[in-house]
Amino acid sequence: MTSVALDRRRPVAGVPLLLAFFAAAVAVRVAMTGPPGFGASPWPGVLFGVVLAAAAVAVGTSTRVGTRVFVAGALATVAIVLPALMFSSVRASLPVAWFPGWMAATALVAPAEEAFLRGALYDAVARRWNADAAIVVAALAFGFMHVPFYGWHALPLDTAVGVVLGVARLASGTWVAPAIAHTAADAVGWWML
Amino acid sequence: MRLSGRAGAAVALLLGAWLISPTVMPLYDGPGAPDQPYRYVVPPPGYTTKTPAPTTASASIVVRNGVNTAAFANSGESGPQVSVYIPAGSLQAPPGATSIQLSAAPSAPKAPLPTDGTIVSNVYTISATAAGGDVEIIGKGDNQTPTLQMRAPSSQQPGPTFETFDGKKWTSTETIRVGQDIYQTFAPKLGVWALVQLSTRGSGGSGIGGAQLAMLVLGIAILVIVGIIVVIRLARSRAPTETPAKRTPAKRASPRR
Repeated sequence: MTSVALDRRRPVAGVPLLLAFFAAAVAVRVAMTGPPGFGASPWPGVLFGVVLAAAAVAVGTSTRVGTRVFVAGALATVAIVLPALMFSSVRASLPVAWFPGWMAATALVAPAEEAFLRGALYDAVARRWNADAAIVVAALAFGFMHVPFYGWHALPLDTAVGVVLGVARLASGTWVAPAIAHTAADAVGWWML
Repeated sequence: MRLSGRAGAAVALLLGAWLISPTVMPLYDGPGAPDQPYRYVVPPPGYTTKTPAPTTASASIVVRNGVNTAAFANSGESGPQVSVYIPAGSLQAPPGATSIQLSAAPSAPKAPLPTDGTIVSNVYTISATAAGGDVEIIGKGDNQTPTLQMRAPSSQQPGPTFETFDGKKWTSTETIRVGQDIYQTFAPKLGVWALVQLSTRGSGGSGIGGAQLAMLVLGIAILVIVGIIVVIRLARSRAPTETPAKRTPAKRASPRR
């Protein structure tokens, strides 16, 4: 297993600071998203990803890749996607020509969200309390992040998805596993729209 | 709790969340995909964007044992302005029919108009025919009632509400937002549907713009403040730690004798 750990002796940002930062980043993204008549522009999302990635790098979190990480990511992907296919269906209503560009942007944004939520924030909460609290806090942040875009009815499902991603983080010891699952689930989700 | 226990609890939680969530929840989020400008049959005053004509969503649905198989009909815009999902067994086909023709055709709003708001989308007439005759919806409950989605011209909030016209008056239906500008409702009957911006919710004009601006400014301010704090702490944590000054060991005083 290759390890690129960025652990520091003293955390440069605690839980309140990270949550305030995350809430502000979400607020900016929501405020920038979608001029009337054109739905969602991808750029606020990409900027959001860049900001979160920068924060995760600045604060520092454990980054590892290896068999265990990929297995945890693959299992979490199955856990997230399988119920979606059971309870929903494949519509494929969006133009296929858009998929490569959208996927490239998603491959930046989804890992950035994970690096922050299941990386920096998870580490801070786990350091302060424990891993279970870290899973719950990161999942709630993940769930609330989606409320401005989809409404309150999206909160239970997105929070539950966040819990699955948090367990993948715990099992693998790094945010990379949930990043794999998040990106893969988004890729499947494209075809379900 | 062991890892396997946590994983089991997480999967159970996820299944439970799916059970209580509305159908066709957006799983994808990512950075979002840009929509084409809304295509009107007759653009409202002030809408200067030149667009092609809106398209009709249509599908040919296979009939098995006298009822339909599951099918979608999406209009051709990106993203679709109207999308109809017909679950399996929700349409009763006439005897001998092997397929059902489903369509959702756009038209311009015409009188009588809703009294509780303004139609902001095209008006879509949803129909299902087989062997020259209309087809009835027999599906009941959330699993067998057709689902209707429409894209609004704007992602501004508060968003519009679905209303259906019964030939005499417009009636609103329970509407949920399933995307930034996509709304969904159950359609227990076919016929005429539209998205209506309720007048009681306000026009969503300058007030929303002001709120968005305030959110943007406040959000950026917090990001900058937190960024400065992190940079200062990083600089401090990387600064060389103060080392105690070297002290030459004091000469021991020779013991007195």
